[in-house]
Amino acid sequence: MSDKKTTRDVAQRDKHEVRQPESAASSESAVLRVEPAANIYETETDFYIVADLPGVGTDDLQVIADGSSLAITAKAPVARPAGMEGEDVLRQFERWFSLPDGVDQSAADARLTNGVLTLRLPKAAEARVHRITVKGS
Amino acid sequence: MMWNERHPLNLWDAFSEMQRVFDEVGRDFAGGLGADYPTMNLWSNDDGVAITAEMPGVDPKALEISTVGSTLTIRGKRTVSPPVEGATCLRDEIGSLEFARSIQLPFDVDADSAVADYRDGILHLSLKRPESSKPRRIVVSASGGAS
Repeated sequence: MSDKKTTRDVAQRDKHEVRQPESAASSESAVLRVEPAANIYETETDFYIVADLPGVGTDDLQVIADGSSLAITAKAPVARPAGMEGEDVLRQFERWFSLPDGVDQSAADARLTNGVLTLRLPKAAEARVHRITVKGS
Repeated sequence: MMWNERHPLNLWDAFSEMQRVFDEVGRDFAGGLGADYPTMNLWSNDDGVAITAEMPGVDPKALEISTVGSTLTIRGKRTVSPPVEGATCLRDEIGSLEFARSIQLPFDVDADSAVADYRDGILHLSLKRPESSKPRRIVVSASGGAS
């Protein structure tokens, strides 16, 4: 499982965060667009994607698997504390992964702990490695 | 001699300045990782500062937050392990790390009133300015009349 074949947008985007002013309607906010760092693991039965999403709550997270691609999008608003000078900060996370064949997307599950997303993508039964026992004579 | 009197040699200041320069260079080249980890936001007012520091996956019990005068230091570590034992890592962008970051605040911190809270991978800090160092408005009294 590799995320090299991502969309053109992702391929062309700077990997590091880009700070830019938001629309005039919320000029007090600083928007940071981030492609979250991720680890990918494989076992005999599952793939796992582990991604850093600091400040993201479950309500602000979307994971969408669509055919051969999977998108993680999330936002983490950090409001300026009351009475303080400065601006609000909004982090927007987005990353695409290409999925290998044989992933049972309907059985995927995710959990979010301390700003870290762990996504489990089970392999379809036919895509799992079957061990063949060698019998001695 | 005159130089020393006007600019007393202070190794700590020299170190802080050096660290500040390294932080700026590191920010440009490392894009948020390296010398300036964790990345921080800081807001301020006359009463103190509010700081957020992003450190996903960190055990909050292993965080060490200390202040010496006006210097705030945050130390911690993150241990990354596979989600299940025996998993093979195919892509490795998140690794275990130990970090320490110090920042200089514009006032000596009232450590007794500091509040720290870790949630969703972000450390929230509230640090108060001691009453003695809060800005005071000085009323200018006019005496006599302008001619």
